[in-house]
Amino acid sequence: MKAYVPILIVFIFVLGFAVTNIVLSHLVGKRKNTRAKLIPYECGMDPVGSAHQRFSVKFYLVAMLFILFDIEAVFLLPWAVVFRDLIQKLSRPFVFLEMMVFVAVLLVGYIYVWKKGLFEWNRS
Amino acid sequence: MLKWITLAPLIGALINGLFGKRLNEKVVGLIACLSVGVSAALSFMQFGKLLSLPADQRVITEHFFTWIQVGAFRADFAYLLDPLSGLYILFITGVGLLIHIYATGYMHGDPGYYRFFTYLNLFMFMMLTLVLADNLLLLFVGWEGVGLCSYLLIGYYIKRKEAGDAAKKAFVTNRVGDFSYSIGMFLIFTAFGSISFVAKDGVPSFLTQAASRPVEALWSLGLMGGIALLLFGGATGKSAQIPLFVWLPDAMAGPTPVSALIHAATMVTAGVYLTARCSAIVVKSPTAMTVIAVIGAATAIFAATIGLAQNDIKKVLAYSTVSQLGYMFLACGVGAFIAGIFHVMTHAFFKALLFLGSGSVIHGMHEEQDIRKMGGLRKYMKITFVTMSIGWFAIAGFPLLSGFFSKDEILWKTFTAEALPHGWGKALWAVAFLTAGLTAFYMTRMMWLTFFGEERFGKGHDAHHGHGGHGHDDHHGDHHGDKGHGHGTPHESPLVMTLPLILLAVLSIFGGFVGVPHALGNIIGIHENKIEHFLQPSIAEFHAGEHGAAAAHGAAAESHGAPAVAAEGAAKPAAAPAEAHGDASTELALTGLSVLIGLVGIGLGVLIYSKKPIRHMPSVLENKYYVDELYETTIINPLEETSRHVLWKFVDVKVIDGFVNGVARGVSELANLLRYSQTGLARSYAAVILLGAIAVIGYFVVKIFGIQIGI
Amino acid sequence: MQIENLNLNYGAVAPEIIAAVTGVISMLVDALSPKGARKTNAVISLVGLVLALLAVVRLEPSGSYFGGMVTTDPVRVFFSVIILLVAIIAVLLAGQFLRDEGLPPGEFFTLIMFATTGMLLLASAGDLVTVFLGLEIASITTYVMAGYRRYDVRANESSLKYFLLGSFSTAFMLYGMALTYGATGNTNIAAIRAIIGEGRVEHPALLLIGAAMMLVGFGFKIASAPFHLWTPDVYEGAPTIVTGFMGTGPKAAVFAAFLRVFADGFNVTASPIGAQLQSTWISAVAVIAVLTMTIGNVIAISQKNIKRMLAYSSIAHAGYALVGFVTGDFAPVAFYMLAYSIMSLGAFAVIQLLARAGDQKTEIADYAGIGFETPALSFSLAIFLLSLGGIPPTAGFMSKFFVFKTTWDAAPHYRWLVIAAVVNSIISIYYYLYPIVVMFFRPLAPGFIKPRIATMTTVALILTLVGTFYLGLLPNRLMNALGQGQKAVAIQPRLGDR
Repeated sequence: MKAYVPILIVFIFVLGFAVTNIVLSHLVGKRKNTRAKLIPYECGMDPVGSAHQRFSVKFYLVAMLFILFDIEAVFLLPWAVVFRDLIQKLSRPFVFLEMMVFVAVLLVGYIYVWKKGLFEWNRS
Repeated sequence: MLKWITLAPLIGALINGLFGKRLNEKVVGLIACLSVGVSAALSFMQFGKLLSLPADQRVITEHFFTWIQVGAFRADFAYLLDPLSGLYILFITGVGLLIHIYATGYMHGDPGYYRFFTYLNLFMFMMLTLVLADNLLLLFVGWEGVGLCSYLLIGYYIKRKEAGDAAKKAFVTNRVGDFSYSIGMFLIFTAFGSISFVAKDGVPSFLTQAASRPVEALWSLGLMGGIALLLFGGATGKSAQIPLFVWLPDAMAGPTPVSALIHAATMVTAGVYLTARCSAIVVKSPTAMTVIAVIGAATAIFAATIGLAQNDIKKVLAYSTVSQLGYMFLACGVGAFIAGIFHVMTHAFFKALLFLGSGSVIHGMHEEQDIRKMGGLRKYMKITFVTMSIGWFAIAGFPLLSGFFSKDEILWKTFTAEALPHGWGKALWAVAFLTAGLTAFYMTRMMWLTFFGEERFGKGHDAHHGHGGHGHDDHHGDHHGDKGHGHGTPHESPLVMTLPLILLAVLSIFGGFVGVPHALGNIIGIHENKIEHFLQPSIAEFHAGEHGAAAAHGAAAESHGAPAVAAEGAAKPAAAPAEAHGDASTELALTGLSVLIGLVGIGLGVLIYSKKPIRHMPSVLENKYYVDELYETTIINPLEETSRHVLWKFVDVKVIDGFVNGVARGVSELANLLRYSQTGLARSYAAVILLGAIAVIGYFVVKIFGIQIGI
Repeated sequence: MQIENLNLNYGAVAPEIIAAVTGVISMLVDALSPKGARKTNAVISLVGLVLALLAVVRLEPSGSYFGGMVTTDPVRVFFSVIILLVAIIAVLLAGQFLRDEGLPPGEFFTLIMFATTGMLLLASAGDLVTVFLGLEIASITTYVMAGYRRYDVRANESSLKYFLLGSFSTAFMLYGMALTYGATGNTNIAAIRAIIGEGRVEHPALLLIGAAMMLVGFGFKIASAPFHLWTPDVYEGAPTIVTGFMGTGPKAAVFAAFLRVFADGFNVTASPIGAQLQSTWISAVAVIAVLTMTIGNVIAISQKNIKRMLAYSSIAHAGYALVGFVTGDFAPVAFYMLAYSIMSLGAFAVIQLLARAGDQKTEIADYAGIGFETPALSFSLAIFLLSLGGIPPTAGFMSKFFVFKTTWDAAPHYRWLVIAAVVNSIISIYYYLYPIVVMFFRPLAPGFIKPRIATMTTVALILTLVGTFYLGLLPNRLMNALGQGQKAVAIQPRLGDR
């Protein structure tokens, strides 16, 4: 159980940070209530109306790309953390190149979507 | 060399199949005939080579490649030429060549000319593979192959529904037999570890092994009997025996040369070939022999009675073929395989002749097939008439013609059968004897209505279009006028068609002299039954009490590479003459009787049909009436009624056809029902998957309780 | 698993690496060339596939690499060859398909290559994790390929259904793997085998339920009854060439993994739990096999659409291949899948050509009378159909024969299965003959236009035809090779020895 104490500390810290900020802004900030400000925020979509409307597939593509690079970060971080331990047991170039291969694959994907025009939002 | 016998027609088929559409008719015909000609020439050469060998070593094998070898199972692509297959390839290529030549004339002007010859050549390849195969599996390839070609050729006139239906019927019926064949084959492999006719890898052929088994008791069904009956089941399909004969009469929807080649002379006798080839097994089971003999005799008389009532010239011949095939199986059933094969050969001659003759008549009559609408044709078609008459006398068993010898041999062997239960041989002989009379009678009727008497065509009628009563007239190109005849006037066929008729007529006359029976031979001065002597090495004999001796002989024969049953055959000649002497007088008496019934049949036919049809025909023609008034003679009426209403319309059409159709309909109903499970909704699919998963998991869970309780 | 002795060996995964790299290259080439690169990518893919094939041939005969994640044995080698052959034929056919349909050209090859990577991985998986990885790579790419003709409603439906139901079945698979892991504490197939053999299974119930769930997962992927319902809809809607591809390659690959997990991992009788597990899954597979072939064949009879008919036929063929499973021996299944892949791809290739752009002509009635209009195509189709029906001397006959014979000899308790299979193959002849009858015995249907055949397509057709006859006429060499491989595989004891 003792090993989880740092996690508990981080948890408390994060929670405290969030709560403090909200409370602070609530207390300190000026408030001017308009109609636009009071409707819930929904990532640029109109939150009122039929739920069955179609919206552009581009949102999903961007979201997927975001998740991909998110995963890259999630994968890179622990790798960096255990790198020193790993090179004791496995050869250094192996440990390094394996991750570089992964990054290169992502890079290829990036070039591909770029060239295919995914980032040109206004393309028909 | 053997492979080129089979490959020549295949090459012909390939050339015609691939380029035939662009070639002109003459070239296509030439290629087809040439390829079969090469095959025939090679067959005769190889046969000569076979004859030059000593009698007990007459075996030529040729190994193409090892086809399958899985564990102990071995099947080669290899050919075996021995007396049995030698005789078969002779008449297959010989008769085949004549029919090919005939067909170049008969099919003249047909839009599918090249397609026809492609199929026909392919058929030759398959048929030759069938008889030359050195094992049961390769034989099965040929067996299926000829079935396929038969199917393609029955359905050759693709625009006509009844041709397609007939093709389907033939195919489906044959599959039933094939199923039996394949089970028989598996059983042979399970029992003997070999499916080859010759020894391979030190494993003696299954025939040799079978020869050393004891003879099973009568009315018991042991392994040998089971195998023999399963193989015979296959043969009933291919050779149109009860209960699988229904497809053959319908198969007449194909072009006439096809009827002659495939559905009379060659393919339908494959069943007899198979039975004779596996005679070593058949003779071990008196039960199987009895069944074969009874079915053969029953088919013979059954088909002959139906033949009495048919008006389509090809249908008469078709039922006659079924009947004659019955004779061949009767011979096999009583152990007289050689007599059966002999009849196969003579039948190939005279039945091909009759079919080709009928084709010539149909051709000359501008696609008319109804014999009631013929008559008096002998004036118009002299060659056809003369040659067909020879066929008629041959099939009726007129003395010294080919059919006489072979039929007589079968009758005699049936009379003296050892394998059957006591007294059955005589009973079957009586059936076969009666059939002989019926055969002579209905053939006379057919010939008389066609060639004699008043001319019942023409007058106010257009022979081609006038009669819608039946749908089996041969389709043909529009070239009728090219000989200068108007519609309605019969004309003799061109030389390419009459020449094969003449050659076949010669064979029908003299073909029988290779197998003159002993008793008769002594009288006319031919002392050796050549065919019997020749075929003996390939055929096993029935010996009621024999046991171990044959095994020793068999093993000795194997070491020479001779086919399985050679040793038994070699032991035979010593015994044969003795038997022949003993009953010579009985045999002669029986021969006299069978000549007599043949003549009575012919005479009665002439007597009846020369009087009545002439007077009544016109009104029948105009009213498109059925034959009721035509056959007033009291002798025929009851017989005919039974034949049409009970045997043909009820047993044949209702019971047997109904059964076959019923099975097919049942399966497709089930299919329709199951089709509704396919709703197209992803959620219901998911639900079914879930149910399936629950079932599988549930089954495993039940098994877990098995562990906890049981172990 | 000790991290020090992972046995890293890139040679052992060379086929997979080559396939993946080729996929990446073709993807880049497609992205960087403005008009798309149909021909270039076809050539690149072919080169890659041939190189991968060479790499497969040069694999060490046996071994276990990357900590047991990848394993080399005859099963892997043989199935890898099947997969690569399927991929090569698919690539050869794709060129004309893409041109005729006017579809974006480059990505199709990329998808084929990635699918191939996944399939190769499935065939080489020595660990449940690798099985899952390969399965997902192969599945996701085929979902996309099924919907490749994206403006076609049928293709969209096909793709979506496949995706939804595929995910559903993946859940079963994954859960089954998890339970197996829970029961044995291991995901390595060889280790699981050893643990079961020694009877060290902590929770036998978990193991059995895990196995049952994996059986469901595999059962879905090979389209066996009652998990087959997706097949006809998906096969009919997908572009014909994709149908041909996914009916053969992925199916063969899943069979490889199925064999390794069940016929190897769960095939131990040394302990009571092992014996229990073995008899349970074999009897379950036997029942599934009969259901599969019967349902496939019977429904195929009433089909009017040739793709749908072949979809049901494909279900039935999975049933025949499953018959070989009860022997616990890979050789008959492997031979069956090879023969089936070749003849089935050939049939789909012809159908693709006859269907024209957008799959307009896929009703059997559309085939009326074309027999002598395009003799090359119709005779080829006839040969493939006869082979599927198991008529000698074709691959279909020989493969059925091999499976049935081996099962008959090796598993005396399951002879009823062989009999059921033989009866089924007789039923199947009916619907295989039907298109042939229509092609050759019916008057020509109106609106028939003789298809053009591209060179690559011709090559593919000739390859499949030669294969069909080669396996039918000279199966000996291959069977001997398989027989030797069979001895090398440590699948003991064979069922017949019990």
